[in-house]
Amino acid sequence: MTTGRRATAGPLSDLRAVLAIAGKDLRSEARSRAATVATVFFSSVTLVVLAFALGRDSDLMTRAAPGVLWVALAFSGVISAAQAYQSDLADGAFEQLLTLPLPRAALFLGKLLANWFTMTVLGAVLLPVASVLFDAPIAGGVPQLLATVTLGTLGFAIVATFYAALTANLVARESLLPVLMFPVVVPVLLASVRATEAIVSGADPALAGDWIELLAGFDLVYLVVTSAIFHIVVEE
Amino acid sequence: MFDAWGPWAWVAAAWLELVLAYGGYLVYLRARAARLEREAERQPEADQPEPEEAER
Amino acid sequence: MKHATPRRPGWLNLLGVVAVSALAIGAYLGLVASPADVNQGELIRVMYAHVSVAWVSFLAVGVAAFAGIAYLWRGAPRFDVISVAASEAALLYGTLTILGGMTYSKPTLNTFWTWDAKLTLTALMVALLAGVFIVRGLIDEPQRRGRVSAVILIVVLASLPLNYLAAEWFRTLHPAKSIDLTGGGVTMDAVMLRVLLFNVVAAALVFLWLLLQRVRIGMREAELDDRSAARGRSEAIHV
Repeated sequence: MTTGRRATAGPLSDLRAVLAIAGKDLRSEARSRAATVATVFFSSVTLVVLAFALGRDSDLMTRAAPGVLWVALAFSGVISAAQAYQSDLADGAFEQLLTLPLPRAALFLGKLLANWFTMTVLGAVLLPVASVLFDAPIAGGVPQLLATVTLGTLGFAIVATFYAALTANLVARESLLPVLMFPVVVPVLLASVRATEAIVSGADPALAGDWIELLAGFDLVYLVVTSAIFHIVVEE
Repeated sequence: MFDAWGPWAWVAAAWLELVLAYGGYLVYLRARAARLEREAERQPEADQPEPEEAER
Repeated sequence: MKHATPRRPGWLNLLGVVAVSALAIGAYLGLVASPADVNQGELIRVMYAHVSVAWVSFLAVGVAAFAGIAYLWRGAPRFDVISVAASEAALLYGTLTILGGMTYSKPTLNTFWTWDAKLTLTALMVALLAGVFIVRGLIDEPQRRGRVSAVILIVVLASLPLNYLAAEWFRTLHPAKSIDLTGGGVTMDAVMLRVLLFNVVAAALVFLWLLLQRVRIGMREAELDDRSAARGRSEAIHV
């Protein structure tokens, strides 16, 4: 990090910047509710439709529950990630942010934090809903499930935030974002579903732990890689 | 339909895929080179300000 | 003054001859000279075609990604040209790998797709490469285009080991099919291994040949691009 550009340099002010950006995003979302409405609606529809589709076979429903949960989360995640940049771009706030003497990675991490937070909250809400709709009891493994949701949504948010910035200036960005994202995010979704399955079925607790570790590993690798190259994505 | 195929049919299919793919790419290269030639010939006509971008 | 594209250099033609010959010899070795497999019979001959292009597809992605990194670092247009050329080759070889994989698994395992870790990884890689080309098509400015695709290729490179791990874990934790689709597994007949390696080298030579041809075309295109952009600018000044 270069120094001397501003009065207070160093990691603490970077951290403050990250939190400030995250806070700004979350506050503007709370006010406009655009993404929240879309994602809640979308994920509810996904859950309900798939519950109908699988409803005849109750055993199948229970086994499908983890997959359905993550499908709903993934689709919603894409929507909210795309939204994260739209409102910024619309009123030129993004360009203004870029002129500030902040390391680009701080901008990335701030947006990531906001996306991650909203996705985790959505996941925490969808967990009991899916559990009820799909008759998949979760009483025993709530802490592990929350850990899975947190790490899984983190991985997803990392990839989504990165690619949303990349496609923000491109035409047809809404359709492009999922196309670019999904091959990258497959291992995250895979591990999340497997971990969720292992926890819900309760048969093999060590297995769930393994998948969660894998998730953490993915998150770390993608976080480091994307943070390092983000500045190229937003350069002018 | 594929049940009727004996092993040599599959072997032939696999190697044919190679030949067709390589051949197809060579055709693509020829076509691209030909387009490049056409672009190159048009350029020296400096009176037309046509910045035709050769894509990628 | 007419700027005709220079004739293809002799060494490149020679490389082409060598590459195609190697391919032919490899095919002969694989189809005729090598023995049938104890378990898979003649079907093992599919493996030589399939596995050799699989290896080269990953080689191509590596070349594309590192050329992209070089472009980010140095900015010389030739690196972007090499990156695109290698990406095209990776797309070609990757698609071939998937097709070959299906051609191999249908007769041996009675299904076109088994979520085999290596094939799943290749499928994801092909999807990622398609994304690179889509994005390139949407960016007009050459430098930005090169930098953005380099960035995507870096993510692709990072994704390869992770996608492989995920696909491998997915399979082994729920062991479905256990036949190793590379036909090698733990012990591969020494003769077969040599035939396979020869075919890998042959495929790599073809890759090199195709790559160099594509790079020549790309360099020339970049040159023309440059010149017309410069002309465009000077026109603006005059007006």
